[in-house]
Amino acid sequence: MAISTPPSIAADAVDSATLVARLARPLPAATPFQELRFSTMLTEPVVVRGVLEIAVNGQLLRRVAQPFVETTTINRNRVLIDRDGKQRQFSLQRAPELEALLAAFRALVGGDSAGLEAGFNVRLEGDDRGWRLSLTPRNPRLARRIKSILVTGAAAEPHCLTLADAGRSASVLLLGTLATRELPQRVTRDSLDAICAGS
Amino acid sequence: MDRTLKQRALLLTLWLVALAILGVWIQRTLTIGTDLRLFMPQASNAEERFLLQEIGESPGSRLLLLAVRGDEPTRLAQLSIELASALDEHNRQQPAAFTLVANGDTDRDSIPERLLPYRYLLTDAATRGAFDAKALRETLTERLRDLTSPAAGAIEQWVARDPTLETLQLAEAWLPAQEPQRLHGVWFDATGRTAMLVAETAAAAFDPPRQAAAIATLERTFEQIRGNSTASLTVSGPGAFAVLMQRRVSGEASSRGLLASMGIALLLLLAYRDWRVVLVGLLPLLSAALVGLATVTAAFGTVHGITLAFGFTLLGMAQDYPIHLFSHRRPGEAATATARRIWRPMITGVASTCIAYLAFLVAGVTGLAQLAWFTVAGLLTAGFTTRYLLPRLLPADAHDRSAQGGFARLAQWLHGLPRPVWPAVILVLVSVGAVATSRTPLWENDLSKLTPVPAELLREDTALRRELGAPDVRYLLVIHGSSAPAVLAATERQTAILESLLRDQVIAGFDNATRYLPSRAVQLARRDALPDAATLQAALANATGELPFARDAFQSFEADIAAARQLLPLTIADLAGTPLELRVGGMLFERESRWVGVTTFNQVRDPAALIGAFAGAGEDIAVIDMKRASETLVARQRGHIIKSLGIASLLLMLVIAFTLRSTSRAWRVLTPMLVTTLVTVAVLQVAGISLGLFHLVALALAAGLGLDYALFFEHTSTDASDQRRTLHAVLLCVASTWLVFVLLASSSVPVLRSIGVTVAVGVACNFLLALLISRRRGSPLNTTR
Repeated sequence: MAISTPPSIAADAVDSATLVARLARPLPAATPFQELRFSTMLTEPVVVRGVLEIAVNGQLLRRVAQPFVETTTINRNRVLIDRDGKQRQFSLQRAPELEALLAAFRALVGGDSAGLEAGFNVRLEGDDRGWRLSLTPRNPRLARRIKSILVTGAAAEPHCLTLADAGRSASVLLLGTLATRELPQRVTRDSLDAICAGS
Repeated sequence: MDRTLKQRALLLTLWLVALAILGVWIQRTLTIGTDLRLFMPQASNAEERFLLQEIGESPGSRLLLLAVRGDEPTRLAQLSIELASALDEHNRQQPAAFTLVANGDTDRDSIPERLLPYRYLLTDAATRGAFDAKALRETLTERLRDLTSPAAGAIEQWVARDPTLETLQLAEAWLPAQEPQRLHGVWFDATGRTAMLVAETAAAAFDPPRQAAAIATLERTFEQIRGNSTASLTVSGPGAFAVLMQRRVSGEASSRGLLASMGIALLLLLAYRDWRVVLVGLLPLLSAALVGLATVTAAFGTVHGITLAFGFTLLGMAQDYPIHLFSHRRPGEAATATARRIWRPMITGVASTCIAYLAFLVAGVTGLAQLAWFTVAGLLTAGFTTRYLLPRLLPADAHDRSAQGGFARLAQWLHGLPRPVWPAVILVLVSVGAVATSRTPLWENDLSKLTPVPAELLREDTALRRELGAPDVRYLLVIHGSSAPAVLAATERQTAILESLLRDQVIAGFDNATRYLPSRAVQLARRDALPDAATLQAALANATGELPFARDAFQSFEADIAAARQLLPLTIADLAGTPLELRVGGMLFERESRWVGVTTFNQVRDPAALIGAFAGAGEDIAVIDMKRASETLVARQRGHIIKSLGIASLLLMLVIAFTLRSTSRAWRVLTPMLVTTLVTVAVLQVAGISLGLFHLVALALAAGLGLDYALFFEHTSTDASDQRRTLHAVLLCVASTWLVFVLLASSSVPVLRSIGVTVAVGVACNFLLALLISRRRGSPLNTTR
């Protein structure tokens, strides 16, 4: 169920609609990830690794395998977190960061450029060799909590999805080949940005 | 002739002006009450006072159960969440209509910011050792993992402020003790097709206007959030029923009242063929209603809606007096002479009916006392205006409508019929047999059946309550004390017993104020167990170890603990203005300068064990069986009313015997009424209806009407035309009364229906028996007028 790579696109500048259309993946889709959480509460980022799955009905499963086991199921507006058999659930509205991230993620996987434009102000830089798609939420409720969502990648392959919240915390989702990449000992936001940019 | 016409016009004007003045005064002074407890017996001791208060105000009775159904379960869950938060929003903006809104969603904020530091006094975090280095390390490892979860952004500040998750623990502890299943995060019934919520109203159950406002808020809010969903909202519970019943009673009473009025007007027009007579004939009834209202207004200030609706029904019998005046008039006789001639049976009837209603005056039920004042004042007014004012308004010429073809033949036929006494004897025997063998309890002992709710609604409510694990309203543990802290401490001392009852499955759950507000001693112990700043910092440093938490990550947590160490224990006064105020207030309150703590139970499986467990707990602690206490109260009250009615009946018989100056004549008058009362009770029994207060009033009404029929039949001379005129009058009275009560008997509201049946059966039986027994055996019929 690995995400297949569509044919390469021309190596010149692209518009966001074309790019988003090319990012579309057939469902169900699954991709490995590693996620780094930066927080003012933490002296260094926490890293988790696992697999993201999207079912045909849009249900999202986030299976963390390391350094502990946890499964998050997001079904419409409910989030269910299962860790060591202990379950916790809440509605998506309670976690605006997650709500925004999910909206962006679904639009990208669906190749739904109109949906993306409806939810976010979209800005695209770069070309086929390396692009940066920055998304800022249009919904004021979400905009209060989220500074931006930055998606970087090359050709039809997204590499990183960085969510920066209104404070100084952020999470960075590394996808595709970067999902299994060994990270340096003391990784920082800057060194990670460089990795996401393709170096 | 011209002069009398002028006099009549002047009298009519004066009468109408007097009525108008009275009407304006009533309109300005009268307030209409809605508290149904006005119709409940008066309490004679503390336990009964508590009981009556609880019936309308206990948390259980203020609970509205909401069911959202008719769409996909996921959509229903979403509607449930949106409805709950919209209601919270509504509560914040206006004086709170709801003291609690719950749908099983654990995310919903329930602790106001101001009270947050108190969480360390309300949960056992400190005393269970949650702040030791070892426990903290486990906790912080979990929180670190939480920070990697997809919801990290939303929970980060809570991880920092409340790493041991005491707020979550409080929110969970404050959820109802027993819950329905949760689907998609909210409560659903067992079928999974109905999302369920509860809303506890600030208004008492027996406050229909405020309950109606609360229900309107629910319905409006639901409409706003419903969007394009096909879902619908059903509201159930005592408050919803009170509103429903009030709407139905007033709706049906007024539509039936209108029909009956039109029917009676038509009947009178047919009978007298003169619209002026019909119109003028309404004046005694109108005067009766206004004087009755004015009397109640002056005596009580407020009049209960039921007094009004029911009182007007009772007062309908005042319309009989003008009918007697019109029908009894001999050709060429002055109306004043007719009035003088029929005054004796009429005033005897008025007086006896008044005596019967006076029994309700001393019954100790405010609503019945109002009803008695209203009816007595009204009937006296109708009687005296018919005697002294109405005749002076009538035209000098009179037609004897009873002499006309059809009616005269009917009268003649009736006159020729045999009049055996044996049917009455058989009726008595059959009725006694029916009452003796009936399986229906003779008396209704259930206070809540006062305005009975249609059975299908009650069934649905019971089902919803069972699903939601709403508290059993029958048994309560009530603890009295001199102050709120004293009651809380006393309640807490019972916790061990309560928990053992839970273990032994005597009860399925319990709830009291200590769940929200632990006693002073417990709060102080928790406060004193909180670590000081240095200890906490050391524990945190130790716990953090290799975990990558920043040194100042838990500053807000440390600040809250430091603040909690300075707090005085949370009291009920501190809860003012928070959602918890009314929630706790329902279980801990001041009454008559003493404090009362109430513990409610879920599913009492062994009442005897429950009562026994607190038997020796002291005089301030008692398990109250609300059902038994209310039944005792109702039975005692009814005994009192029946005794009063018995005395009234004796008095009434004496009055009649005295007026008629003959025992045999008195028996001829009284027998139909006595037999009819027995027959009516038998009919109700066979129909499966137990007697309540309103049935007693209806029986008294039917008896009063029957007495009137018998008195007039008995009073009439042996002259055939006089007898025919009496028959005309009584038949018209019977027909108009029947119309009113047969319409009432077709009502969908049980209480109106059974009153309708009671009076309709009573009137028919009274009339037939009066024909057989009370009517004088006259001379052979001649055709003279």
